[in-house]
This record gives sequence, structure tokens and C-alpha cells, in this order.
Amino acid sequence: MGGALGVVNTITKGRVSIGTMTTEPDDDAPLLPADGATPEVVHDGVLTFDRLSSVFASGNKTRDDQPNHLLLRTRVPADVAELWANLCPAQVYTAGPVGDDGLTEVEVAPSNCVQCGAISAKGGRLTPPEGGSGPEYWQT
Amino acid sequence: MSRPADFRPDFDPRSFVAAPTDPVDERIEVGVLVVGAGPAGLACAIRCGQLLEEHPDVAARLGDVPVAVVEKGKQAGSHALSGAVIRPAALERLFEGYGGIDGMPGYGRVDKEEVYVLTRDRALPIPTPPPMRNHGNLVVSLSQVGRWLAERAESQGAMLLPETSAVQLLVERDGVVGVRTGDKGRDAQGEELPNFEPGNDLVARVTVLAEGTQGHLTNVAFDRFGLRGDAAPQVWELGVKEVWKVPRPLDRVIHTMGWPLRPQARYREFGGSFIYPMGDDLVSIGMVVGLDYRDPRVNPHDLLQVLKTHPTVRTILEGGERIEWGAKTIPGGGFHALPRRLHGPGLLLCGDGVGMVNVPTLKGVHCRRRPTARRCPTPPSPRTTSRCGRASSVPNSTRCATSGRSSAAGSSWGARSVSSTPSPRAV
Repeated sequence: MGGALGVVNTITKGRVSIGTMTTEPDDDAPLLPADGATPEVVHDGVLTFDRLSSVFASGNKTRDDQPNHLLLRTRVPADVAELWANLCPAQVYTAGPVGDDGLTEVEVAPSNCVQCGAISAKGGRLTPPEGGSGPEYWQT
Repeated sequence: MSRPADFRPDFDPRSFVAAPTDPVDERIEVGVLVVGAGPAGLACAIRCGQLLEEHPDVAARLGDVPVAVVEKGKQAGSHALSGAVIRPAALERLFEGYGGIDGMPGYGRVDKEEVYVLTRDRALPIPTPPPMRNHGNLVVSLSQVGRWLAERAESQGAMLLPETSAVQLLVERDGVVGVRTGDKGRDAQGEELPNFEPGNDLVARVTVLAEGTQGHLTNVAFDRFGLRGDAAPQVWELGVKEVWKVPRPLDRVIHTMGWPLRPQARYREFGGSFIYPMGDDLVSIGMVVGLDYRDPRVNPHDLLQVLKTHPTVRTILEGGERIEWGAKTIPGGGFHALPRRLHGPGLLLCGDGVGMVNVPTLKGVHCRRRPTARRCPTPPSPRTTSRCGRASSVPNSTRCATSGRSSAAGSSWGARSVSSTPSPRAV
């Protein structure tokens, strides 16, 4: 819907309105685990890479020993833990074992963080770490 | 199945709003304080510098540091990441009469482009949808552009403070009076290490939040001053990109849709990829996915890795070497998700933090520069009364900027550009 209106409005320079349109927060819909979300990929280190080599290639130099700048609950249902573990392109979150209460422990490695902000859209909160932390993008 | 929204952390935006605590003589005083040395913040600093050059009397009254820019990264551009194919009009306008943009680092104008729908092993070219036509736009690295803009801002008189995060919004008598910068040298438990340096109160007559996507104080300000009004909720896409050194030049700008994202509506996998040539030997390649996707097994990092194994994409990169990687979210709510006000007392907001992205055309960088350039139409003319009178009488520049110019978010050129464009995800 929005896509079609976008085309019309690009051509008409924004003259078309169809009243109110709205969006739903990104973390609002119930999760829907399925197979085949991301096709299997072998990280060969030539064409394809794993996340930790990617973090290295971002020039990330966040100091390990600093307060955690990522606010999120660390005991959550398994599907939420799995979401965060897969979502983060810098592999900050790891889903641990399921505890007696049926909840999964999420381990957090804040020093991997490249401050992309995805976690804030999906149920966590990114706050600024110590100044000078994070990636050092050069020609991105 | 769980809803991630039910597991949000306890977060009180009000805990990031405070009055200044440093003794008055230890506060760092500046005229205009910009948070974030990205394209929006630096364009603002440059425009203020240009105006102050024309009005030296005002500059003199703004004190020793009329314009300052704080940046959390190692330097300007360190946290800037985008495709990027940009519409040059806003920058050309900013530097009109100030040397133009010929010196700006870039990789020329787009003269050939292609849009493909991908299946697992085929690429079907389709006619370029009108919003995605890029003819005449510039291919740049936003990180390089950030460093160039920072040089321009400094030569225009702005002071850059890198490696400085803005952690608290300083508010006094209902008006924003600056920001508090973050402490340095604490350990994981929060204890002070031998090299501990406390943060400072940076006080300013006008504070401009140009923090970029998911801006920390931007979100705090939305809450404190009720700026979002009845705007639709903001949504985001996540972009993951790499820069490759390649043996054969790529001769066109490429966008793809389809594989490896799934078409079934229930998964809500909205997105696609971009592949841009950066001169003869570099290629920028990235994958973007809307963050309202529902399957917890979606792995945005690996979607890009999988994309590179597609025969059409592999051919472009074969024999090359990855030299850089990065990731960043993109606000995707379009016009309907723009906050209803882009200002508060003593406060201006701009750029990605407020969602200045035209989603169908895949463009936002121009909106980041233009509103800031526009919203500083007159130089700051500070009052002679005491600082704490701020709430009742904000400086003229803010008034002009905040009530005159952007009384509706929809009046700026950037917002008009965004206004033609609802989010493709909007319903």
C-alpha cells in the first residue's frame, strides 16, 4: 500500500494523499519461528565471513572493561533470545541454556557492539557507550 | 508465541534529563551545541558558521566558542554508514558561494542502473521503478563525506569534540540548556579506574540534536517535550554492508529485490540489496531488511553473506577482497512517522534521529542536510538577560527556527521530500 502510494507521489511530487496511514512498532507482532529464514551459508573467509570477522573489519575498538551500554532483559522466552542472537549483526547476544523457570539466559558482549540500533527496534535499548567506542568506519 | 515488545527493559527516559550539576564556573559554555557530527549536524554547524561570518557582532556575543559539535565516534564519519547514492542538491545549495562541492570526495554521477528481482540462481531485470531512478545522483562514501564536512565546519569556525558521548539532556526551567557528556574510564561494575575522567556540563544557548538513527537524547527529548504528538510509530530497517576491492570495475548501480528474503506476507520480510561502484576498483554492497520481520531465525548479517553467493553477485566480487564491514539502522516510517514538532524550548532536532528518510527512493542524506541548512535562517542573536531566563525567552534564532520555520514538520524541504513518501510498510 505505502509502496504504491510512494510511486504515485514520486511522479506527482507529493500531491496525492489518501488520509491517515499508520505503522506498527517493529517489536509488536508475535514471533513466527519457521525453517529456512536465512539459507544455509558456509563462512569460507574469502567470499563469506562470520560475524566476529565482520566486527573486526568494522575497526571496532570498544574497550572491553566498561559498563554495559545495552539495556535489555537477560531472562526471556527462548524465541526472544533466539531473535536477539540472530538479529545482532555484531553477535553481541548469545542465547544460553533454558532455566528452571522456562526462560533463557541471554549473554551480552557489549564490546562487540557497532551501535547499529537494531536492538532498540526489537525490544532492547541502545544507549551511548564511553566516547570513542565503536566502529571506525573509513569508507562506508 | 512471544511478542518482543512485552520484554522491553525498564527504561525511564526521564532519568536521562537533569539540571546542570557542575559549578557555574566549571561548565563549558558554547553558543550553538550540535550533538552528532554526521551530515545533518555538520551541515547545521557549517550554515551557522556562514551566517556568523556575515554577522560578526552576533558571533562576538556568542562567546569564545560560537558553534561546537560533539561526536561519540573517534572522529567525524567514524559512525557514518550509508549506501550511498545521494541527491546533491542540498549540499550544492549549502556551499553555494562557498566553493561548491567539487572538492567533496565521491565517485561520480550515476549514469547506468539496473534493478533485478532475484531467485535463488537467477536475476530478472525489471524496469527501474520511478522512485528508484538515480540518474545524475552522486555515489559517495558517507564516512568520507563526514570527514570532509567536518573539515569544512572547522574552517567555518566550529569546534569539534570527538570521542564525546552526550548522555543527559540538561533542562532548566523547562528549557534545554545543553547536554552532559559521558564519563570515561569506568570499569564494567561502574567503578572508577586510575584514568577516570568525569563528564562535563556543556551548556549552550541552542542545542541541536543530530544524533542519527535511534538517537539516545532525541528519544529522551521526544518524551520530555511530547514532540511526537499523534505521529505514527517509527519503524526501522537494518542495513549491513561491505566495501570490496575488486579486480574488474562495476559499471552500474544495482538494486535487487526478492531472494534471499521470503515473499510470503506472513514473514514480513521487506527489503533488498544495493551494489554500487565506487570508482574503478571498489564496490559497496549491502543488504537491507525491515525490522518488523517476524521469524526469530532471520539473521541479517548472514543474509548479506548468502546474497554474495548468488551467481550474479559472485561474478562482481570474484577475485576481490573485502576491506570493510559495517551495519546501521535506517528509520523507515516516512512522512507519517515524523514527529509533529522538530523543536522544543532551546532545542532543535534534525536528520535521521527524527526519521528524515524518503523510503521508496532509498534517499535520506539530502534531507539531513537541507532542513538544518534551512532551519538556521538567521544567525543566533543572544539575549543580554541571564541564561536561566531561557524558558521564557529563547534566543531569536531558535524562535525563528522553531516557530517560524518548522511550526509544522511538514514545511521544510526535507520533510516535503519525505512527505511524498509513506513507508512502503505503511497500511
